[in-house]
Amino acid sequence: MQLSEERIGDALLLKASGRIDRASVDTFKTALLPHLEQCKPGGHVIVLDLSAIDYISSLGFQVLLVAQRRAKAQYGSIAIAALQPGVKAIFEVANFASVIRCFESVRDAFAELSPSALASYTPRA
Amino acid sequence: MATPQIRQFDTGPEAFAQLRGFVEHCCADAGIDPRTIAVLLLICEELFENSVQHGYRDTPGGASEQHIWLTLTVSGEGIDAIYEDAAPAYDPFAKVSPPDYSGPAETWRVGGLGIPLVTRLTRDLRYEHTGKRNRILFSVPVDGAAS
Repeated sequence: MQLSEERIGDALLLKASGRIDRASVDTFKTALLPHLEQCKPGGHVIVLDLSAIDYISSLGFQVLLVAQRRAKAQYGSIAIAALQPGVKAIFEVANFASVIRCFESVRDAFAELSPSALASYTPRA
Repeated sequence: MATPQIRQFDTGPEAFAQLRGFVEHCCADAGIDPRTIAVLLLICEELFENSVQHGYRDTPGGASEQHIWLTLTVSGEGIDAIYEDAAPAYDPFAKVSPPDYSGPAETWRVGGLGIPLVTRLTRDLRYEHTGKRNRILFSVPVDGAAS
């Protein structure tokens, strides 16, 4: 599991790739949670691009749940974008879309959460 | 008729990778689609995690010296599975409470997400305790979540 970051306008785009399972969940947690510190008004919104994630277990859900709890406590915004169909199906079965906002694409997430990021966003090929 | 394949695994840090290899090998041989394989892996991971974190937690030597067993019967229509551990008898499905996200975020339950997920992803799920083993029997239909 890898997590890359890109600052776009007032948004932080985090792109995860690989699998989020019992072998990689600690790496995911360690990489993601520090970014929550600035996820608050006057800081940045976080969009987590999961288009390159092909598997996530409940341990990964726990990390996302902790992230969302922390963001909400700080009045910040975090969202997920671009789930693969199989992962999206698991999100739906787990009712996880009611925990954290999910968008079809990064562009859709920026359109809702960060006009400044949308204005300067160019998807990578 | 498909032949059941059974394998024993330990519960050390590298064990789930071996279990994953077994699942992928059995399914690939039968031409199972990637999405169904991912669902089966997710179910197995949740059950494995339950054995390690709860079932074997208080056993002498801890979880790392224990075993689990997985039996897979894979056909073109789906997968019949039996997951077993030798932890003290406990039915994880006797009292399942799905997480409730309707309240404020600070009230959300962080743990305990795996077993409710298993109940949603499996068909014909049942528990029994025989031969000093917890046995969880379930099916996974080809291509997709069960509910």
